[in-house]
Amino acid sequence: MTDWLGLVVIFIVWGGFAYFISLAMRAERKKNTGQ
Amino acid sequence: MSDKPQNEFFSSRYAMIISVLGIAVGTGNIWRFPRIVAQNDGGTFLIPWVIFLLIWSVPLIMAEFAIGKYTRMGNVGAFAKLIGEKFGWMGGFIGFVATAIMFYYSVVTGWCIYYFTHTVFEPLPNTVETAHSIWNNFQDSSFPVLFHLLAMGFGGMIIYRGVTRGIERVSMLMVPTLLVIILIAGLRAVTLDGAYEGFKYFFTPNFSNLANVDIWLAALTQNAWDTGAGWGLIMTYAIYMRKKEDIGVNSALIGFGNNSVSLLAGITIFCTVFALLGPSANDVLKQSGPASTGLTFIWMPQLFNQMVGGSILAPLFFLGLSFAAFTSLISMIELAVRIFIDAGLTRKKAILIVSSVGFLAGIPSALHLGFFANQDWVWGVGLMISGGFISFAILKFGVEKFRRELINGEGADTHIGKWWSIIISVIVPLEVVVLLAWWLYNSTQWYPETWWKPFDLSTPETLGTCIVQWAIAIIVLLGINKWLVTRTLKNDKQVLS
Repeated sequence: MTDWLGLVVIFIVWGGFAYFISLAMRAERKKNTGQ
Repeated sequence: MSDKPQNEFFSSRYAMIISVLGIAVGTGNIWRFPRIVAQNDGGTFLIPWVIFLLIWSVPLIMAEFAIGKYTRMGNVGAFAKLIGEKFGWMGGFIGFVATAIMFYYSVVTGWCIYYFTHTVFEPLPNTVETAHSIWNNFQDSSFPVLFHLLAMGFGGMIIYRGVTRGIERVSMLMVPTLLVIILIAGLRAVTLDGAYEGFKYFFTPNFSNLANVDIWLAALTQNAWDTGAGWGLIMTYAIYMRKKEDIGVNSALIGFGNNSVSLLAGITIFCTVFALLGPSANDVLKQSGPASTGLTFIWMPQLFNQMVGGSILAPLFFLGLSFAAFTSLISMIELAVRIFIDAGLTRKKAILIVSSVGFLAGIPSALHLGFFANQDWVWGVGLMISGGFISFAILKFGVEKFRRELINGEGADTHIGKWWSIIISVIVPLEVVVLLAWWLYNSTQWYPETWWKPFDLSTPETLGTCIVQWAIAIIVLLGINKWLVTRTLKNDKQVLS
């Protein structure tokens, strides 16, 4: 029980954070290169 | 988009994100979150906590970014410009709630700085009694006032340097350092013998308890108090974001980033406390202590004392806590300062007024923990009203128009769908009403004899005190609304011409 809920919460929160960082970085690269 | 010439901006997207993360990540992540998790059945709490991140924090952060970016004004001007001059007082109320929190938050920042210096220069306490006597000696001295003055004065100096040379530089230094400190403390905590017990408690849900409404309301409150959503602070920093900046992705990044820090802080605290205290850890974690300081200021120093490397980790922990508090404090100062600047004052004059009044108004909280608890209660619950006012403003402006033109307008990296409109127009107002009713009803149950009394500091968290203090703030703001809004918008037009 512990393991899977821990993993799900960590996956959603930390995974979400990492995902939005990567989205922001990709968007910034696009804006900077004018694509 | 307002065509008011905005002459100061965050130097980059990352600088802006880190500065706003500095607002969101405060003492609430490190100090309040683990205690609230413990009081609400450990892992069970995490499920509603993640849900409310999505249906409270992130949508409101988006709303604040959009209002600030669109109006380029502090809370009063923003509301007057967005929905009409007669509603400026609503922005004023949001600004006043955040400023009233600033009065005592500066005191808390002072406590953190004091404990940092104490753990550097003095031995760590080895018993509960010693830890209590350190706290009591500190509270009985003039240090709470002196360190409050230090926090407020230093905060004012940073804000005087402006956005890029002040807020941005400090945030770029303090926020990453804070993250590294929590990471180091977290790594040490999970490698302690018995740390797994803390991990297990933190992540084990009891699904039958999910039917307990109190856990859901505590999770919503934690998101409302901890992410900075609905405070008006992000709205203020958004004034300084460039036109080409995105709102949707940045808001999600900040909401998830803030809760990621809470999760890391939770792992650190739970693993440390369970590893060092064994079965009694649960009771310790639930303790509030004087002004909810039990865990942080009483228990953590002596737990560090029992740990190999604790004499290094203890100052690091309080340094991180001081950084977390300080980056939030400067955003509160900037919020109040910006309202004065909009009304025609120079930045220097505005800072002098805000810092001086902030210091004086914080003194009662520095001297009397009952007064501190009263203010924390009144304005903490008042934040729910602030969130409701933001939702009201968007409804009045037109939810779909707001989403289409302000959120999905210039600079948007991603398209925000209709789900946002539904959350902001239906779910957020519902959350505000339910939370307000729940907290105020609870207060009548805590103090059945005195719940209506407004000024009894032996029972500082009553319904009566909320109603009286909110009413005074609203009546004053309504009384000066016309004068303040006219002055604010006139100054805006002068800048335009």
